[in-house]
Amino acid sequence: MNMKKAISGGEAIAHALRQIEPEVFAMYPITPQTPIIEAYALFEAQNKVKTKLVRTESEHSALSVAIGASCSGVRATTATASQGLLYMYEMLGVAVGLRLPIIMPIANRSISSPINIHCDHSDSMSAIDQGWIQMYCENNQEAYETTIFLQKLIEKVCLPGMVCIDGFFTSHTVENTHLFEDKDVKKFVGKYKPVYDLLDTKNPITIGSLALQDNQFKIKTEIDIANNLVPSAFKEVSKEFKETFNKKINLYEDYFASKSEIVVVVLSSSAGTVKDVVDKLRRKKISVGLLKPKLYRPFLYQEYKKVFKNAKKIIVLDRSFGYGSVPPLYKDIKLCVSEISRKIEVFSFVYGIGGRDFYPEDAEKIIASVIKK
Amino acid sequence: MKEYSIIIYGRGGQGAKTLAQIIAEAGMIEGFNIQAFPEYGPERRGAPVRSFVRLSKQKIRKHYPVTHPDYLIIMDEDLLETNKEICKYKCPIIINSKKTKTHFKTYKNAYVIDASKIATELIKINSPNIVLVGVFLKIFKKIKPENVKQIIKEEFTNKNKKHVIEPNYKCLDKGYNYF
Repeated sequence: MNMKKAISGGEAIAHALRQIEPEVFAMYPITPQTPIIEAYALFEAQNKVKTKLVRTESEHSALSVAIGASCSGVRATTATASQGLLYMYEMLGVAVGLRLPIIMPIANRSISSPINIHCDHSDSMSAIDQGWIQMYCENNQEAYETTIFLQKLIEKVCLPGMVCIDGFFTSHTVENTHLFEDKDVKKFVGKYKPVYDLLDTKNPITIGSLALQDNQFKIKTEIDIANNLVPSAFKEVSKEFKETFNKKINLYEDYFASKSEIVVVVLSSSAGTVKDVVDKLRRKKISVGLLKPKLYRPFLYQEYKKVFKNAKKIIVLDRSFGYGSVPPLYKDIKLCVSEISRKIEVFSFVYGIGGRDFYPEDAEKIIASVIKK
Repeated sequence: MKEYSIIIYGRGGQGAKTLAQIIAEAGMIEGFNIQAFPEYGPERRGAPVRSFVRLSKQKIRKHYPVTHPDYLIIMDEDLLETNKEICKYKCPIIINSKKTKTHFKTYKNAYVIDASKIATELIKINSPNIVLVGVFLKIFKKIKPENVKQIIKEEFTNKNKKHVIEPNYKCLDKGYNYF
């Protein structure tokens, strides 16, 4: 079977989910997440999946349905963007508190007002500290592989996770994407073994009960501990991924970053554009590299300290603001650098809000301005 | 190694997005790495739209619109009036028009074809994109028309419209053999 396909990033994620084949997919369409659910609905119509599709009346209900299904001991998913994510915000914490491994693709989009359907990261960045794992993808191939990978990771640590792709730049762009064999993906994710199952009547349990002062503190602490366990669990899953697909999934991409005096830090599709710029500048003997965090939550403060071992200046490109404070990625990098005794300057730039294109010339200008400073 | 890029100018509903996807997919079958994407503005029928294609034997990492095209496809000649920047590109330009080449003297490297008329005759709808794909493949030389036929066959078989496969093949051949 020819597994190379010309598909959009949204379709690539839909293929990954088709191969995982969750029992329940709660759907509420929102641009630019639509290619994911359109493609998946087609798979269902063609009897390629046995998944129960639930068309909900809102995103709040969509995540609620996924939570309910997941409580009953099956794999469940939903996908959203922008206002949709904000509308389901209340349920984000519920999924974490109940320790449900729900996978949720996000096609990153700006938030209202003004209304804008295009890409920036202000939607998922508003949910970085809720306990959900977040992974950001550069292109369609990464979106596909990350979805399969994350499904396994979230089940290992009993936390929900978001696969974030850039709206339109990835969700709607057609690229050649190599798909794994269905049987290999099924073997990799394996049969789902839920930690608890509401429908297991022989072992009745209560879900969503009241927790008073002591238990609440204890349960919330466990979530924090689970988040801290993610990097080591990531490495285990990465090993299994390599064994099955002969491909490595890394926590982050160090593109000449640890060898360079100037390091650009950027997430998702713009990282590809910056790599071309890095190549160009390195040919001119400018010591510049790129750090692309793939796992963004939890944040890898210790690992990145090693990546910055030769850094003198760090440029952090955020595709969202941090109103009243500083942008989120910059804040994390700044905190990470504060633990390094050597002096490193960190510069913050906000780019690409509302889907504004980010050209190599923009990256070059930013780097040139920082060299001069 | 060379990366080839195309800008397609069309109007909402004309199939500029599909045109880009067909070229890209045919390129993928030929062994190219590909990227195809339209410009998403306020979408409405008849509004000017652009779509982009990149083809390269190397991995394509960039994610932004094509700014220095190697080929241009104009699905509606009126768009030449409203998009003045087209003049500054010196690359081959395929224009869908009823007029002859002499009307487009500004463009040194123009291929003028009444693709709408050919499509209307063969597939009974004014959908010029397959004819234009044919012209492009002839000029580009690096993708076989058979790849597009394979895509047409799969697409219309999946959609249960097998009767339109042959007429679309003819559109492709007509475009391919025009110049």
